[in-house]
Amino acid sequence: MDLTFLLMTLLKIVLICFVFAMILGAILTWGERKLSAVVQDRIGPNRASILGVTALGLMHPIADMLKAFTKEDFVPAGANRFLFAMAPMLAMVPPLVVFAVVPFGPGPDFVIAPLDTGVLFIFAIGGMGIYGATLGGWSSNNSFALLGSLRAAAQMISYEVSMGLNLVGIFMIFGTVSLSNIVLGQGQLLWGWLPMWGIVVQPVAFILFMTASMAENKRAPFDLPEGESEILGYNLEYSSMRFALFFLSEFVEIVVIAAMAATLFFGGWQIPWVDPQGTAGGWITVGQVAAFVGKVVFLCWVQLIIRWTLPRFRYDQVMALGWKYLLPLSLLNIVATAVVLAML
Amino acid sequence: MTGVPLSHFLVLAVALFTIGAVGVVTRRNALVALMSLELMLNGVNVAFLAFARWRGDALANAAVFIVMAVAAAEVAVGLALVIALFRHNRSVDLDEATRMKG
Amino acid sequence: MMDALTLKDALFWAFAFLTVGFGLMVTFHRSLVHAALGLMGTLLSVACIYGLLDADFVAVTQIIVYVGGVLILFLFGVFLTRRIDDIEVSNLSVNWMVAVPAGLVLLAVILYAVISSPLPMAPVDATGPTVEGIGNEFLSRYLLPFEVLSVILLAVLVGALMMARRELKPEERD
Repeated sequence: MDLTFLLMTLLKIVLICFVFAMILGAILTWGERKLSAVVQDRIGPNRASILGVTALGLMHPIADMLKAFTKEDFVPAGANRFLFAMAPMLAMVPPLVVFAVVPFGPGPDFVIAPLDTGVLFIFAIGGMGIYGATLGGWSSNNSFALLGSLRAAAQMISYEVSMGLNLVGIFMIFGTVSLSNIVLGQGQLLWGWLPMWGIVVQPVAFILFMTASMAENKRAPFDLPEGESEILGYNLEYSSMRFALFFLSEFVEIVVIAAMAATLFFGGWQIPWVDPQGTAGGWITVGQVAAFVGKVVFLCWVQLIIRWTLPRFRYDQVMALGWKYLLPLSLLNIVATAVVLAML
Repeated sequence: MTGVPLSHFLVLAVALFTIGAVGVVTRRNALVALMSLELMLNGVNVAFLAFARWRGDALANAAVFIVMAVAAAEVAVGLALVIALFRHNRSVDLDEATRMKG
Repeated sequence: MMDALTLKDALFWAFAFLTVGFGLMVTFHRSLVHAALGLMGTLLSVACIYGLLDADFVAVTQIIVYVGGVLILFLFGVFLTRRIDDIEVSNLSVNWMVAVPAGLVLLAVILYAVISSPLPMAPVDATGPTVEGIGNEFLSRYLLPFEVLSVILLAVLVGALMMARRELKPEERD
């Protein structure tokens, strides 16, 4: 517990949480608009420029940030000021804290805190994301915002259950809940040639996990709690940077989901057939970190595509999907995994 | 972990338990009474785990796990009772729930 | 190593005071929402105390079950309680003049018991991660309590639903 250790940890926190997660989140706000434009046969953002450089509209996140900072910071009459200010922070912090246990590369140097309870820690911290929506909706002193926050809380609690159960199959196969060990386990080969990635051994769980976690993130087709354009959501009374925090937390959560899915189902930093123990060092390690980042970016893109492809569910359909289909399917998946494991 | 002696953890546990007990007795609102009950359970859990740490026994961890599950169940039933109470009395005040009084 | 020890001491004192402070907030704060927030603070600090006691699995479970589940239910209850800002109606402590001295007496008695009983001085060596140990206990020696627990949870699920459900009018029954 000496000074170098503390400094290294701080450096890792800054690099992972602020450089990686938040910048990727900010770029995703551009990616989402650009992608929606491509999907809908438009051009999309291309105007904001710094000294004439538009860079395909990549200057838009910066312009958005300036706009958010300079707008009026509005607090509705009768609002609980303390909670109203707290809620956006409570929404923003949990997705960033989750990155503490995600291994970006082989060995303990590429993870902030290699906890033995890795995945459970993610669920614990991720579950606290509900408070941002709940308290934000209630403290606005607005009935519509309160309704939105109740919808958000009910939806997030419902999907958290099946999200957790989906991963039990992975725990059973790799015999651990530590993310680093799960990644190491995925370096094994099936029948000598097929990488034992989570998506290979648990394909059903992957689909269920992505569904549940997108619902957890309250994005379309599950965006009923906020409904950016037409439904009034829990962030109804928010403006300026406080709204931007809610907005950005959603995009950071996309990165979190992508990082979790990459770690649990796509082998984390593993490059197939290359150095499964992660002991090579040198350029191979650089390549492995790059492979992880590449997988994360790919899974972010998948989530954006899904969001712009599917229409929104009705609320009763969201609830029915969560409780009547996802939950029984994930239980069935556990039973099937157990049977297969017992027969092997 | 040799810095803090066992008695400190036990004192913390007792303090939490007592605060909860006072809360259960004094609060009229059913919700806060339930919350105080949770404080008492947490105090007990802290004592459990402190003893476990000093005796090196995995059983206490399992016991705390069971306590938590039962506590969650208790809250679910308790809140359902509160809702039923609210529906009948239009209030969640425990002192007003006196219909059974002869 | 001295640094590490004092750091842990400092963490213990910080979380102990947070736990007690937030606990007092639950019991004595007049606003329902602040009581609920105090409960959140207490539960989180207690989870950190669990962490200091090397009970990583229980600490994480504490956050998942209490902070992620139970407390949300409480908040629902608080938000939906009518006339929330009206302290006279929503939240009044009665007979605290009896209860607080009684609580202090209770505290004194248990503290006396703690101080006067012989306690082991040194903890056993760190046991490492506890997840596997707990899992093995539950699937071998304590299988029956574990199964009973799941039956209890199922019963609670059904029972809570039955109680909280609006009673159907005769013509709505099928």
